[in-house]
Amino acid sequence: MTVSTDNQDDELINLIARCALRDQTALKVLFERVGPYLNALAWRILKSKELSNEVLQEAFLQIWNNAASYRPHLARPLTWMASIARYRALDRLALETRIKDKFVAHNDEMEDLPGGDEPERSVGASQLRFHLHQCLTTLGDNIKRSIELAYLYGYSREEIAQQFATNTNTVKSWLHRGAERLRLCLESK
Amino acid sequence: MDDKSLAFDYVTGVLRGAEREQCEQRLRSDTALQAEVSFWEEQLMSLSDEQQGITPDPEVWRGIESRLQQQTRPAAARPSRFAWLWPSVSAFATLMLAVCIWLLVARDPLQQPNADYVAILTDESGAPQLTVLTATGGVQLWLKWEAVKINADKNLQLWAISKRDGQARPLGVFAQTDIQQLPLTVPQWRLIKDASHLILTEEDVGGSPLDEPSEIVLAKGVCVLLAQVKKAI
Repeated sequence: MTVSTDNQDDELINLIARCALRDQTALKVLFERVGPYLNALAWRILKSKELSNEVLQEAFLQIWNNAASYRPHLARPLTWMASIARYRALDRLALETRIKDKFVAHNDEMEDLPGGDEPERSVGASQLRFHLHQCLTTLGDNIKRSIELAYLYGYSREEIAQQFATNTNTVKSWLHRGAERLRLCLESK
Repeated sequence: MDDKSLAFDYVTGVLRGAEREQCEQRLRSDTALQAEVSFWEEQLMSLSDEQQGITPDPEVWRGIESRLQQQTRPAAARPSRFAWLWPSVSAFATLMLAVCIWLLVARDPLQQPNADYVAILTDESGAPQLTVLTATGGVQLWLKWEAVKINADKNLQLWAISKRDGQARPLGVFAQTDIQQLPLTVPQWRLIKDASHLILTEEDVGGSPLDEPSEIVLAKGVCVLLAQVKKAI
């Protein structure tokens, strides 16, 4: 699976445009290209194959229905699709009442992710990634980890507080201070 | 909470419940907040780039196909409200009537197209098959389909025939005929502005492999600048 090179952005944009023209073949190609990646995003948040598959289905229906409103100058195609999948996974998570101790397990679980290849990256995407990780490390371990737990694994403020044996207001403060400093750092790159 | 923090909380997902819903409401119209959200969506994407994919179960695609069929079935079954009008009027009257009806049936005034170019594509018998209208300065393409049938394993393709060089250039491929509104790219807008007429052809799935229209032309129609038509009236 190669989903994030610059040239492939054009291809993904083209496929989304064809979806807007109600070309179901384009949706299938899109599903084959980015489905595994989006499925992994949803799985990390939901920790359930069944639920992530359901979310993936909802995400692709939304991609199909909203394809005409996608604007390439506002977001890269993969970012647009990943946001749809993540937000649907978060919606689904909100419906689930179970609370799991995901923090302890997540490192092992990530190594167990089945199927798919490492996505190829463009120079631009690699730079973004490099800068983000460089900036994250300047925030301190607690803030960095809090952002990762929230973004990657769908943790709420309460769950993050539980992991760090602190209170929710502290986590809220970590995240907001972290966002402020992260933005300054990213914009200076 | 300021908008920068709100956008960050929204994208990371820690904004939950009613707060999240309120944020989503605002995002529908607040462009400054949309920009903040877009910034974080793009930046934080790099957190997940490293992860491998998980091949979805085959049932997922089958489920999507099934849901898409459910979505399109009612639309396909719905008869055209104005079908009876088409055979009885001349091509020019049809052109203007279609546009007027189109504007009238738009219930929300904000949704009414500020039309600029229009083409009514008719088949050999003169029966309209597709009305194509560009609106709001070439930003949107509006489509009104009649009873166009797509054969199995075939797609339809819309082409602009240039008034400069007579060449056909592709505007879009259609697997179904329920789409009514599309964003128009700048190159597509230029093709329409340059077009003498538009044609609709039957092609293999995915569109013409040669980027040339097939010989099966289902409909064609002259491309008219609507502002000039209005002046003539």
